[in-house]
Amino acid sequence: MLSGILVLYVYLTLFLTGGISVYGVVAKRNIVKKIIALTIFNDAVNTIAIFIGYRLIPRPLPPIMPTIYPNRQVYSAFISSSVDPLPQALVITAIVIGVAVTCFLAFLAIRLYDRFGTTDYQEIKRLVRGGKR
Amino acid sequence: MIYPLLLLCFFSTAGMISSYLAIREKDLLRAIALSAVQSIAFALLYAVLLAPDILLVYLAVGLGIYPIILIYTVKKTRRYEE
Amino acid sequence: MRGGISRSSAAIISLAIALSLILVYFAAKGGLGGHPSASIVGIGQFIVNNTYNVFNRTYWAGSPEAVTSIIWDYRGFDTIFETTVLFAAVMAALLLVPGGIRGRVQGAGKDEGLTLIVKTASKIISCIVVVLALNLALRGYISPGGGFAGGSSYAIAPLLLIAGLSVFYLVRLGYRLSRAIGLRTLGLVGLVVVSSLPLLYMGYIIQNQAKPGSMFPGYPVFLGPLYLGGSLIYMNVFEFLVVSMEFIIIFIAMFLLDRGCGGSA
Repeated sequence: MLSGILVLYVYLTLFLTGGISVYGVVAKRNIVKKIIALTIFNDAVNTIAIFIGYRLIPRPLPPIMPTIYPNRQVYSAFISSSVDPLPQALVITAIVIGVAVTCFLAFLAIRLYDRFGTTDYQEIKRLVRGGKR
Repeated sequence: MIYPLLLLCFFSTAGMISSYLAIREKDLLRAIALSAVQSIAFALLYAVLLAPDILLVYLAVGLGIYPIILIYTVKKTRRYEE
Repeated sequence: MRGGISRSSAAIISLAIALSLILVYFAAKGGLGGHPSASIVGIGQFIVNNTYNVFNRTYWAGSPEAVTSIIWDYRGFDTIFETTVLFAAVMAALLLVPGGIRGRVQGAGKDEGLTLIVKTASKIISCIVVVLALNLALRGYISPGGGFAGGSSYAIAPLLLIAGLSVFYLVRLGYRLSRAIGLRTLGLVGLVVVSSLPLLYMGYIIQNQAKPGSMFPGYPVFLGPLYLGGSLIYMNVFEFLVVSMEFIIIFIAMFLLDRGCGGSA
């Protein structure tokens, strides 16, 4: 009962982190601030994916077998108490690709500042509409 | 079974609060520092969730590469939002 | 602009809280699919059962590290295409460099870094980081780590050198854009070769160990007393090359971007 409430609390905080960062992406006008909010959103979603793969037993193990010459006992302890490795494997590649995409967005922000002299999204939109380049 | 969940609650609350402060902050360098604090909280969260592979990737990414790239971007543009 | 929290931001924040509560309700009802519980989902259990099943080697991956065996064996296609996405993102960033990537950072510039203590410390720490990253990449099939962790840790070393000394020191050390692109291409070619070698034996693509319905005998797991872990070690080493070189390309391109902007800011 208590563990169920704690699980729901962790879900709530992670969803709220995602919600705050979506607010930052949508409502903030500075492009660099939007990029920071996007990285936080990426982390929150990845953490939810890993949290779903957690195992609620007294002594869970990481998904790595401790020896390369296992006997029956080590093997059965491993398969009965390892956490889910699948979300972890998917999240690793997602983190690295998130970095590459963030680098691309940072380059875009620097180029936009060189062109328009501002990082304000509304200002850039106004300058483009006005035909001033 | 309860203690890891209590640790998870603590670290996820820390991450939520620091990300809220990072989004609210007008000084972009301070916002980057606060999002690095959020990265520390999430790295501890991964340690409690028994994901050592992700911990290793995320420490290099969240505390090394993200802040340096964003600080470089802020240096090339403006430090203060509005 | 307006200070404090305006009315529209308060409305958006309360809406976000309400949506999170609704999502938590669905999570409690099991509407998000998985849920942390005493057992794990079927395919995860299959992989945990089979990744280093020395008693029944029909579907095994030959590695005690379940995460690395998923990345390079059970879901190898996924990782190959993720590498393609990484490649595309770095190429798109390079396209934004004014004047193209043919420009070259002059190696004759002065080190306008910080004090001598900081310079020496950043040199020593970057050496330690390189050793740790190689350790992560080479032992990724048996302990936590792997190509992605090793590559992104390796990228810390040139960043430290750039911050502590200057980009010219990095160029004098031999980090050049053309060389980095060449090594990246070498890593990609290595991935292709290792993943398509089983096709010569009428096996599956990205096949690691012998599987039913395939003639490929599998990459060697034990070579005498040496533990090799199938194809995972080669995949990890080539992925380490790809990821670390992609990041170094981005960091050097940043300074080309700096030069192209005519020294503004």
